Amino acid sequence: MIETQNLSVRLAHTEAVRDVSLRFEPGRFYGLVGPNGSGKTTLLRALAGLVAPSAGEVQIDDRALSSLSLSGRAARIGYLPQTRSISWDLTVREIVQLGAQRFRDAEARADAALNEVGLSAVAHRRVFSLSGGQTARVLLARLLATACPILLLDEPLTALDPAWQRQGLGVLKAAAARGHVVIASLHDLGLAAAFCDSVYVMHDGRVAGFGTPEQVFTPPLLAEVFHLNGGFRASDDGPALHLAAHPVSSLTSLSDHYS
Amino acid sequence: MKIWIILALSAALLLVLLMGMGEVALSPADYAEALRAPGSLAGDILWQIRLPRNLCALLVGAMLGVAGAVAQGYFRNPLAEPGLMGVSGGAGLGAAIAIVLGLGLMPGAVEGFALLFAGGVSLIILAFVSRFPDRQALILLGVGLSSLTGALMALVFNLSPSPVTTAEILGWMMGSVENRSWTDAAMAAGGLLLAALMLWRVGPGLRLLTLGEDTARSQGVDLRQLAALSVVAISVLAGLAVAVSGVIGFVGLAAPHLVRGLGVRDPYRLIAPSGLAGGVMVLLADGAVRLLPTSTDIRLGVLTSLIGAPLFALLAWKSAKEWVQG
Repeated sequence: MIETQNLSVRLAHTEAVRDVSLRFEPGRFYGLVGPNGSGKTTLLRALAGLVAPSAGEVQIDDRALSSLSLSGRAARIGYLPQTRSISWDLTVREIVQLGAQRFRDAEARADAALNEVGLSAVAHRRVFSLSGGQTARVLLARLLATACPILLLDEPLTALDPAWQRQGLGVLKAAAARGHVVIASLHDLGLAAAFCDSVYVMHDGRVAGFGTPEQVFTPPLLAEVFHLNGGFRASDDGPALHLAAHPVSSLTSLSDHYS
Repeated sequence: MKIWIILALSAALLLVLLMGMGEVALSPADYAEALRAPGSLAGDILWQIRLPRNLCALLVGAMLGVAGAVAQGYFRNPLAEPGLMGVSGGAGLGAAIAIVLGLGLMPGAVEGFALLFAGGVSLIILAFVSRFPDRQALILLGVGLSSLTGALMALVFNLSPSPVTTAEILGWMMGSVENRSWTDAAMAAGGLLLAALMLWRVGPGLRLLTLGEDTARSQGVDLRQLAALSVVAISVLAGLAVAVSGVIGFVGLAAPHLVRGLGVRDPYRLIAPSGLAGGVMVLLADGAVRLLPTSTDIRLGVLTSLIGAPLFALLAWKSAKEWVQG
């Protein structure tokens, strides 16, 4: 379990995360959604211990994150950053093995993770020869190979095609089902609604909503936070999130919408 | 065959071959005498002149190759080289000051001054890195320190008492392993040993840096420690290399690329073969210097730069193409 109490993070002169109290349980897949600049990345980096809070703290299983050693953190928290830069042209297997390097059977673990993201066939290839989407899957496999109980992912779906966005979320859901805490920042609200057990909505560094996707994605919240018209509707497969093609363009149209 | 075995064999072969090259032509009987009686004239030539010179070439090349591999790995930049941090410039400045002060003929004085100044620059870098373990900031600091040592070097030339002194500094700056002693070779070997001790445990960190600093930190890499170990090792090697042999350009840049071209991409596994490749390159260049039929000896550093500069341009060209397509 990982939680924050009144967490604030200051970056340069702006408070990117403000007074946020959250709680993430094992066995659940959490979506972290919010517009650009709402504080998702900073929150994830604070949860990973990569940026120090200006107030409050992060706790893992009732221990302060700041009290854990670097290796203690590394054994508990796996983090997939948003930037996907790879400096050297290692093989796919070597990259994934980096995730498992604290284990003796790193190679076997790397192969299992590659299998999970459907890249066993390219394990021996050089990573620079892969497409952007395949590279994103290699890095996801690197994260899975860490076998950390808590997995944090910053926009893991970027560069993935629609089929693999769903497959990737399926992999994360499966990881949650195995008992991991999985927290991923996502931009696609429809996918977040379809795959996540719970959703935190960030807005201006604060939590603007928390609950199951159905509880959270209400028309007023979608309009206020995302400037989108939409909400849950019944469909053949049960309730699903529907979003209008055009954003709410201004406050006038917002008030029109509700008048 | 493993790459490092090929490189080690090449280095050993060159070391033996170059024992047969020098100003004095030796007959087979001379070699036999040198082996039988190390104190004889032939023995002196072989054991006190040629072997220290060849060992210095090998060890200086190895220092530059290792420092280059660590610099490229730590800075995650294929264009990084040992001189990047300004330590080589500091060592050059120290040597120039020693020569201007008239200490050129005092044994060990030029080397001592070079080491002293390299150490000074290293301390500035270490103080900086302990507060800001950030590679971009370090590169900026390196550019600043290099400019400063360059400016001070210009001042030394400016205030140089005579054209002879200026020529002496210039000659030293051009790099050479001629007339090197066992002390020089021991200094180089000591530097390599020290660097090996420092670099012993940077493997996981350098490898994980391949995926960026956030990933490395999240997997338990102490970036401050990694920065300190890498930067100090680079400084020790670059400073000592200049102290032993003057400025020998481009070996530190090119050796890691040579090894990468042979298929080793792992930034840690690259280090040792890169050292061997550097040694082979400087031995080859020093052999070429002895073979070239010029009336004035071509200096070793001039030759490595002449070969290295076009290589650097080619690398920059290839990188630029990748960035533009990127």
